[in-house]
Amino acid sequence: MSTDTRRRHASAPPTRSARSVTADPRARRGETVAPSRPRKVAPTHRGHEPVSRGHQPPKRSLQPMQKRIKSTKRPKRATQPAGISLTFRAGDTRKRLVAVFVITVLLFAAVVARVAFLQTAGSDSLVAAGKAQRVSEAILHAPRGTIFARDGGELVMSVPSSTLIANPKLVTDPAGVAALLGTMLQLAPDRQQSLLATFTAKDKSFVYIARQIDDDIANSVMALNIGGIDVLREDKRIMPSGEVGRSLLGRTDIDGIGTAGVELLYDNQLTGVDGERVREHDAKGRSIPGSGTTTIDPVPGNDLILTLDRSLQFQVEQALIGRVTELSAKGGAVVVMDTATGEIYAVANVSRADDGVVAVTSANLAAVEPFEPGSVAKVFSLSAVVDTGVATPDTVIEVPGRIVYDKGTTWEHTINDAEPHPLQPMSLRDIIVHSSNIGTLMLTDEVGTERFGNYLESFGFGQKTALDFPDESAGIFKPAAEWEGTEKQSHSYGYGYSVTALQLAAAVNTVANGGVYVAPKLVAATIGADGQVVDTAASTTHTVIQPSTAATMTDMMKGVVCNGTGKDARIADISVAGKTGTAYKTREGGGYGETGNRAYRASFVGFFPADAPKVTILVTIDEPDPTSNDRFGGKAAAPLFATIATAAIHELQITPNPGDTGCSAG
Amino acid sequence: MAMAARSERVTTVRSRVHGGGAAEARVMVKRTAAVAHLAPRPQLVVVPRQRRTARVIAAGCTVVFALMLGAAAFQTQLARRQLTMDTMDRDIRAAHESYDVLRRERAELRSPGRLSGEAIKLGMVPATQTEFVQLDADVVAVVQRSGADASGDPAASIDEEFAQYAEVKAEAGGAP
Repeated sequence: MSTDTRRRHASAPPTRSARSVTADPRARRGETVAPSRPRKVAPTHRGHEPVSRGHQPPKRSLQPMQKRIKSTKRPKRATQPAGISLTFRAGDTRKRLVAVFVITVLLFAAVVARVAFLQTAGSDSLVAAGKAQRVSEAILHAPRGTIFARDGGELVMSVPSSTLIANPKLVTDPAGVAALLGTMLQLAPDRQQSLLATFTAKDKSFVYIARQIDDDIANSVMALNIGGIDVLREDKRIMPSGEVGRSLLGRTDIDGIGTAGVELLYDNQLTGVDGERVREHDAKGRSIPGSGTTTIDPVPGNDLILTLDRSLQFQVEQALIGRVTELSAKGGAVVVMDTATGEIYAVANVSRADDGVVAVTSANLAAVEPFEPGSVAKVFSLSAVVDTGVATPDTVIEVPGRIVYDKGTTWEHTINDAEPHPLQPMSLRDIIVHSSNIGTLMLTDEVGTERFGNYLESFGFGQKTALDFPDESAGIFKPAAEWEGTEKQSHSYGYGYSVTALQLAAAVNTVANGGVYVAPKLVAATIGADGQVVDTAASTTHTVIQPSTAATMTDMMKGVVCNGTGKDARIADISVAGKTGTAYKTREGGGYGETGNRAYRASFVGFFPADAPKVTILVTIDEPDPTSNDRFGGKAAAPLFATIATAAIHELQITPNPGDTGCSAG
Repeated sequence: MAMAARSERVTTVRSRVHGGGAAEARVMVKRTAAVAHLAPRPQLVVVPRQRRTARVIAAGCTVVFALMLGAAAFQTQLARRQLTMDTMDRDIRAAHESYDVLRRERAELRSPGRLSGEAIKLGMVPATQTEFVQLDADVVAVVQRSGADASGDPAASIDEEFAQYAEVKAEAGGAP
């Protein structure tokens, strides 16, 4: 309060407080009384005149104030219309408080209503959005089973690899990123263009850049910290043993689904059951403590232990490639199987590509490509002859060098022996040793068409093997009742029907196995998800010929190797039984062509040790050089048989039976 | 100074009230009222001490504090354990990957193609012939007596290898 105010206050009309000061006893007693300190009073809105409590200000005292307001309010508004006056007055506090309260209550009610709505009817989308933000559901891919060889070596397995992915919506420089990735990943131009288009369109949030690449390359890309580019871990299917058994093992697509070969055949076994992990995580991907993680463990696929011997498979493939190359042949196939169990030790398929390079094929030709067996089939014809008692090895018949059927008719056809000869006596042993077509034909004719046909069916022709390999061929074989014309004769020496290499090997193996057909087998055991090794069931078997017949045929087939057309298949100190075959291939448009214009399939099938066979091997060479003297089964295929048999002896540790000295004994 | 003077006056008034007569006391009361006018004293009321309530409140506060502290400690432990679990998960995955990579490397090292190549580099050639030799029975007997495996059957080691693999698969085959 200013001094002026105090002064004015002192000269103001006496108030009740002033009167009480006058009534001070000290003053009444004449004592000097210090002027009491003026009471603090609330200033008026003017700030000048103190207003005593309980005193109504004089009515006239308001008038100057109103006048001042009139004169001072908006003094600068020169444009104020005349006649309009603004009047300000104190509001009703109670009403204001009520208004504020009502507004607050309304606002609060609105908030509560909104919250209630979001918690009830409108909660689904928000719950889903929140869940999507913090809950991640990751699929735990089940590892695909490994394919082992019988020696424990991995033929096919899955290993972790890196996959580069992109979120095009986050790629800020589509052209630059596409060019950079194209250079670093050595992408093809069209792939690079495709990436650029995807990055530019930005209509996807996920796209693969390169799948299952080396970790080093992926790490170098990730080191650049390109926005929108990320890396995933994916299993990659690899063959750590190289191309060994490629045609048999087949392949998978990039998602690990079998598309060919064993991978396709046993896809259900190899494929596991994916698991799932649901967890709540924070912005940095860390699990939220106490939020709970639900994990369904993946169940890995079963592992397969094949009957293949990895080392033998490799040697067989290399030997076949070498032989096909030497013979300038089109291709070839080899089947090596266990005589007693039917387990396949090796299956090799090679072919010559357009550029002349001979390599292992991706197709299992031994199972899918049928061919006319030629003279190898005499094993089955003469087995039927011996088994039915039509002849014994020492039975001698007069065999001409050629026979003409339906002479003088339109159906006339001539059959010759491979080696021209006059009419001469030949024993059954001579017929097989020298592979006489006419001798075989004459004896088989005695068996009877239907019975002979039944034998062939029993040897497994006309039906797929138990392997049921993808796209496996059943061959071309008609029931005997449907044989017409020359088919009745040609079946005896291996024409008029087609077989696969697998069928042929299994059929000859019947003789080696004492007359009992044993179905080929490729999977020895499986290893389940629980680590249990479960052996597969033994191969199915059925008797085709009598054991004595099998022994007789084995003995005669030993003669083929020691004294006949299969001499190049001999192995030192171990007796081998086998049969050669050289078949004309049918030409496009039908027929077998003429001399000098023919294509051949040279084959040799045999087993050893002949007295107690352990391994049966089929070698077939497709279209060896027709001008070469090595185009015959005994020259093209038999030497390869000896090579493979030697490798099998080493790998399978086969030793000769006591007293077996090979061909030297005979 | 003002405070000191006020204190002196109050003291004076009290001594006179207790020691003076009734008339004098009336005057003194009036004077006291004047002093009181200058420094109004709050009206004080004697409140009975509620010791039990205070104790209960204190105990409650302590319990609540302890509970909060415990909850915080529990959450910390939870977070620490979760972190450990996450780390272990990553370690398991890494170990699994490492196991697969090592298997791959071993398979590649043992692949026939590589062995053949290395053998050729060493000047070796594939065997084209087989020659069998007859061992003297006495020699075989000596070898067998020495505890060596005369049969040389590789199947046993292969079976053992598969068994080891199967054991690992049973434990970690489905590990993420």
